Amino acid sequence: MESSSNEHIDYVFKVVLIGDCGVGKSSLLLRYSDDFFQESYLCTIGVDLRIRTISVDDKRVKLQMWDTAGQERFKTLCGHYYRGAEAIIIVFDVTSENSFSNVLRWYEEARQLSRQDTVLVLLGNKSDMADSRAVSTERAQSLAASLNIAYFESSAKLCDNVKETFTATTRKMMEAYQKHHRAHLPDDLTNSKSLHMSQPIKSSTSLNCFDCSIM
Amino acid sequence: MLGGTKSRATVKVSTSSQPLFSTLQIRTRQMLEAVIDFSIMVYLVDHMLPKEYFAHNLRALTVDMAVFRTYLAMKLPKLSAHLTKLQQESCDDCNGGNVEPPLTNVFTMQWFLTMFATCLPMATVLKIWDCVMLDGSEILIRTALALWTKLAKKIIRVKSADEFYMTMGSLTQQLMKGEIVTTDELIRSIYNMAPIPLPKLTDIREKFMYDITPFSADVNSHKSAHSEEESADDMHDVTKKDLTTHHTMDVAMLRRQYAKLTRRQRKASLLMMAPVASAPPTIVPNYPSPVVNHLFVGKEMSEKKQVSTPRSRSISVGSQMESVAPALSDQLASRLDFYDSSQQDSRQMHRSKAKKQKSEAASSITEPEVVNQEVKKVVRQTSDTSDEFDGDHATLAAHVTTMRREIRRQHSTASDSSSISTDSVFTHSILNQNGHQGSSNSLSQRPYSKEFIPSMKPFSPFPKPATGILSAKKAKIGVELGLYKPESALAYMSPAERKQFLREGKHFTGRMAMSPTSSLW
Repeated sequence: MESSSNEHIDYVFKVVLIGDCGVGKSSLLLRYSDDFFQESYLCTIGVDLRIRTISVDDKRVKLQMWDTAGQERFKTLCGHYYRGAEAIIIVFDVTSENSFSNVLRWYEEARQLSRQDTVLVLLGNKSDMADSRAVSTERAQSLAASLNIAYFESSAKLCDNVKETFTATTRKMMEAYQKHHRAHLPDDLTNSKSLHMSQPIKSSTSLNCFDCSIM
Repeated sequence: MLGGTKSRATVKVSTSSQPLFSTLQIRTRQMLEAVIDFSIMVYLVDHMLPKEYFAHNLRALTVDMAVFRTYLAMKLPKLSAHLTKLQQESCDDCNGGNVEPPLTNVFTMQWFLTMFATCLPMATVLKIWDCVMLDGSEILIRTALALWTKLAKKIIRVKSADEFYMTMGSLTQQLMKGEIVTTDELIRSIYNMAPIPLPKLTDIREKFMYDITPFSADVNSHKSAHSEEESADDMHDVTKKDLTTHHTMDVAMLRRQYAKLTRRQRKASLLMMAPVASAPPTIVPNYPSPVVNHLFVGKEMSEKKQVSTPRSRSISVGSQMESVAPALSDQLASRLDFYDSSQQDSRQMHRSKAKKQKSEAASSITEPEVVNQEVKKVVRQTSDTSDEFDGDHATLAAHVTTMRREIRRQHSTASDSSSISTDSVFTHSILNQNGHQGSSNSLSQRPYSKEFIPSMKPFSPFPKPATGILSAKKAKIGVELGLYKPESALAYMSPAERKQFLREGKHFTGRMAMSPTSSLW
């Protein structure tokens, strides 16, 4: 789509999506990576990975997006993937009060398992379903403000605000990375030690979006 | 999964205003096929896989993933070392020494949990399920090893964790299309890699059982649990723990396990009678389609079901069945006729499961009697013989509690005469055999039918692998499926059995060799 097979990549970021079952994590990623929406519900087994390369502020950024299963039983297994993440997006369903009340739990979990500089984002999905809306934008915003994280609202179904959310998150990750970088490696900016972030990565395949699992 | 997609298609049809019974019949057949696939999976999960694979903390799965990595290191040391290197590099690169989970985990987790249903073509999956029936859950590990052996050549070339995931993305797609490995090739390598059971499997599993403590849902204890798994990852460092701590843990563990077993037993009987949670909504038009995770027909779903379709529950609870109104019994009978005929049409259908399905469907149907009569009429016209089951229906109406036994008896005898024509027939017949209450079935390890014997050893969810020679029956079926060589089967049969086996004139070309001498390790 947006990348050729062997181009220069400035950043590789890991983004992890968490949240209750059925809030639309997989749908969001499917919409973002393949621009496709599936009406039927398929539960994610364990974790799933999608990759997309985008351009933000003249930088090529490769997003490694981890889609985790919302089910309680997968929590421990998926928790391992929080640690390496540059950003964690906590997704809830604006039509489900329950998923909103669980946001705090997810937040605590994410804070505990992730690094200090990990960007956290709150995302209310299914904004298209205005009729059955249970959580108002104001409430979600005030929660996000109290947690000191950004809030977005999107609809994977209508492709509304999905791209914008990911772009904004990427921008935040870049800021956080540069901040961290300045703080920890003041004279090492171009050193290859920070290669995970800045090493040019040659994609071996022309695929830049894929679904590594079928479910 | 498979059941889900097909069932959903049926919802659309049944909610349309025209009650076309012929269409319905075809749809029903498709649905039943899907149900069969699904119920095989339910059976495998319930009976063949280690007991805590799907439990709330997925402990046994975590153990098996670690066990798998151990075998990977033994069988493919180069690949394993390469992956570990990539994993560690990825950790170092991240600021603050983060922990990257073992790279294979993402895939192994899905493979094991779905028993390869989501990563290989269906025909291959059914073959593998046959193998799981014969030789237990270690087949999953073997299959995973065989697949990684195939993928190794491409994986060894990748230079970073990121690239690994990229490459695997396209490789998994190729696997799904069957481009990387053929069914025969895969089965052959599964059986040729080592004698069954896998060398030291019990020991390794037990070791990781000790090393990996049960995960707690509690967030605070998460970190310690995680670190313990990390130590488990390092297989060279066998941490010998204080035995006394195990013993104090045992009592609580046993108690919990016992409670779980009882729960499980209840749930299993529910599952056996109501194989698909989404079945009721496919027939009752106005019922909203629930969100169903077909792999985990667990607590939440069964609770939902109980509220929406109380009758489907009463099927499994014998005492409640006595009070079912006669009107319902009539409905049952007519419905059964309908399903019977659709069954008669397709011989490959697994009968016992179909019966269960239909009885469940019948119990949840609330259509007017007129419709039922019409269905009956249409069905009578299309079917040639359904007398076989007629006597049964009377029994059903009168004593619904005896239904289960009766159905299974009739159908398991019926299915004995059916010819083996598809890959999955074996799994069907096993399901039938399971219906026999007291049959000594050496093939299936039925966890909850065994008496629970408290011991001082911590409870292990892994069934002990069958030691010694293959049982005659198992060997025979293995040959019929082309998994074992005929000689290996004959060797384990009694003279009478051997005679009968040869008289039946089944000349199978054993494609796969059971090679007891192969010593990879």
